[in-house]
Amino acid sequence: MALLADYAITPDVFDVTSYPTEGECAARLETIREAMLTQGLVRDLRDGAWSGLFRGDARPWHRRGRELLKKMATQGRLLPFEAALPDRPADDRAWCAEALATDERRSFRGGVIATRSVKEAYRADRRVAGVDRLQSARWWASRSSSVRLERTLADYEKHLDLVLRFSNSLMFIDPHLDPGERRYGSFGTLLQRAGHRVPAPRIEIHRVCYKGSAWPLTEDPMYFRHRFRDALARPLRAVGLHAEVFIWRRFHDRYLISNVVGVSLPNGFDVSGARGDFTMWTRLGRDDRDAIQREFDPVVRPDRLVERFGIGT
Amino acid sequence: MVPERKSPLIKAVEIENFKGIGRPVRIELRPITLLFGRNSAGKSTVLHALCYAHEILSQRNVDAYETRLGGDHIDLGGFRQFVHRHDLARSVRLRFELNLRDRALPELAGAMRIAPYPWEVGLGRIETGWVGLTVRWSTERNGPVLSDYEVGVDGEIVGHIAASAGDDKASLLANLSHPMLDHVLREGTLAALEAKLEKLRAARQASETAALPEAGQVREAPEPQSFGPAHHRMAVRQARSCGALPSFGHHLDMELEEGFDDDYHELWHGVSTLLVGLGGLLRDALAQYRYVGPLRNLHPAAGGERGRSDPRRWADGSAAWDLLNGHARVNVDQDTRKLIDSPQFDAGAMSATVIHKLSDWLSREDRLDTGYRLQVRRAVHLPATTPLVGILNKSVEGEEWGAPFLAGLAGMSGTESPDDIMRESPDKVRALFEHIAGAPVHREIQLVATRSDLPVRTSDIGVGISQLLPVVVAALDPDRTEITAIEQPELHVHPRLQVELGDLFATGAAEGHVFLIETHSEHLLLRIMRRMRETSSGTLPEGAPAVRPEDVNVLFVEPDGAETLIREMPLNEMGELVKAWPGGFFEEDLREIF
Repeated sequence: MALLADYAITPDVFDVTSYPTEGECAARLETIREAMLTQGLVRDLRDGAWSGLFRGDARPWHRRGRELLKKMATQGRLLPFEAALPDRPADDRAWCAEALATDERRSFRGGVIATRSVKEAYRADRRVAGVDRLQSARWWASRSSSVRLERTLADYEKHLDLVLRFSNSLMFIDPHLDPGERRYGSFGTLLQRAGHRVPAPRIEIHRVCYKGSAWPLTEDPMYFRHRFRDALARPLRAVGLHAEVFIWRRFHDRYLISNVVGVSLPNGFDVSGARGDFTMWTRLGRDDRDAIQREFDPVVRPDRLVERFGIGT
Repeated sequence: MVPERKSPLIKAVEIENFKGIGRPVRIELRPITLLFGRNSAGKSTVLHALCYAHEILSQRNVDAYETRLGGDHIDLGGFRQFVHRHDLARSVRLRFELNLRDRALPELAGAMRIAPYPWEVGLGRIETGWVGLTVRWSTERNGPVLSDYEVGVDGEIVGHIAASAGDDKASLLANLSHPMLDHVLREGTLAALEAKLEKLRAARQASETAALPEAGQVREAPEPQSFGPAHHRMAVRQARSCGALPSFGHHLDMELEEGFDDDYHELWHGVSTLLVGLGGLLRDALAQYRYVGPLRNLHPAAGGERGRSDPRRWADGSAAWDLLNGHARVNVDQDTRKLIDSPQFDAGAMSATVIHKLSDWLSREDRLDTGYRLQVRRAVHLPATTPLVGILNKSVEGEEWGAPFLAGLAGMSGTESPDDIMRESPDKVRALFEHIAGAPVHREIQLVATRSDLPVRTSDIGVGISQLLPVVVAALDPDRTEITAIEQPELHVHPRLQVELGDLFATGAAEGHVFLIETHSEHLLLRIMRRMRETSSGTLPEGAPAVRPEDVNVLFVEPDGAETLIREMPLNEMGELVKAWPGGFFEEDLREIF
């Protein structure tokens, strides 16, 4: 359902003593590992107090859990989230309450993962799932590597909301992306969703050097500079963003590559005026995402890069 | 106490066709540049390229095997070996981008000066420059030759010298319309310059055959598109073995034409000053390149004096001990504080501070906490010819040495028993003591185990400490170098200490060092990332070094077929990776435990 989802996890999920055996703890952590490292973000509740719990040896955190948290932190998958309740949680139930309170401020695209006992306390709340019965939660079971959406700005914003707001880097790769064209006219608005934050994300826009199918190059090297600056400089500046535009000799596929997820978008970032015009977006595996990120690094194929320029702040 | 120092000269280096690097790769040098990548990916190539550049500029050695800076650790194997893919049709190119903001160009011998050059009197301020070196294989010489030497200033090329093997002349193509040369002419106007150039061109056409050697003898510099309209050729006499490399410290030996006024000569000498001057600055900077190799000596033998140690001793870390012992020799201890008013005090106090600081870093719990501290050991070395030494040596041959020693003393003083020595031969005894008292006190550095407070020999300490100590000394040496390159600083070091290495390098960088570090240590990087986060959020602990994104360049080195690729992995001001780390950030351990 969501290409990238956000979750909260109550601390006891990482505590060996919350399970009948250490083996079960390890197995439960194994269940959530892949989702957390490739499709998920985790709310670091109370401005990082949640992740701070795992720094010391005060409790028997499972080694797998610690390692998983460490990797999530270095991958930029922990989202500091301000305190939602007045008091700092004293136990796992309270942490669950804190997590649910954040949902009032911004709805989860995923949900809250808790231990069995906490789930029992929140039996009626569908936003909470026991780590031992995650499949029973609709928001977990319906995870998919693809999503079908309408080719409208509203749907793009909806499905890219988390990606745009929390990624440290965003590579918009579309051979025909031309913000001066009407069908790409809302691209600036989409970009603005990534703005107004510190530090600002690194934004790259990649396209080819010709218009339509008209190979070879567009003769005027300034053509795209003007097109992009005219259309995007002001909206980017308005939200404190800078973008680097790369003009390549040739490529065909369309992607959005960020540091937390990679998405294949067969139709690119243009919108359709026709009602009911759908497209399918697919989340890339991590190796593929790395490969695309690498392919569009200017040092990798410098001979294919025609020019690059910056716009915005 | 630390002398003020200019910012580093070298801003970036571009490498092409050197070892695994084929296509040009540009590496920007920031205070801390970290090279990550799996084994044999090509990380060391960058460090070795700088050693090679030093060989070219300082030793005029283009066919380098062992290098002056690399000691036994770097054997480039000669041009046939290090040219990319061993392809002799390729040219090795090194290009250095320079920061010239607060640099004065060196004075050159070999030309009469009429007036100061514009950059000397504020008419033009040089901000940046570059020096390009190209080495290619010469079939005539059956060896490599430095075929091209190029210099640019403030974004525009100044000149390009091209030479082929064995010639004693080279061809200089100069950009006489470079803005920095505009003021050389006393008329000081572009129009005057253009008029002069027209004159020069006409003269050149008339005398080209005479000015240049016969066709085929001199390889002319190509005419790059970057040259302005007023480019001009000039033949330059070179030493046969030097190829296109000028003789630093001297003006180019140009075949200036007769019949022109002083402006003409000034113009060309202006070109010469820039061409030779920038190369000279680069040569001097690379002489300050310090390379600490991947395996440090476990038991280093004594070496040179402080700061005078053979630079190649840094490659195995031995020079760190030389440097420490040098500081120990000028150390001022509490008993000799009376020297405070003497001229030696500053040097002594500084050395004491250096030793104290290094010892702190090694021993303090909130630093590396290695379990060792440094101490200056004072000892009197008596020559074997000293009578007392002779008696002592003879006495200790037996199990019990006290009685034989006293008997020996009595014998030496001509008395019957030890009790009579002072009474019967006071002069001999006094002379003996005076001889000993006159012997100089030697100071040398010693490691002391902090737990037992006992001195230890280098052979007694753990391998990790022996590997770490040269890194600590290199990182905090107040005599800062242009670049300090270190391979595997984390070698044999516990992860807890690897984390602290991040602070060590950040501290050194804050003091003006520039580090180029080849490493596999995620711990080191994690500490730097943390310091960036704390710096940005204003939560930096007291005494911890501040780190900003512009201070750090994280590079990911990877093979791409037969090529080596170097990709930047930027960090934002929160110390977070901006882009996804290929394959996940050091996820090997995660894969092992899941």
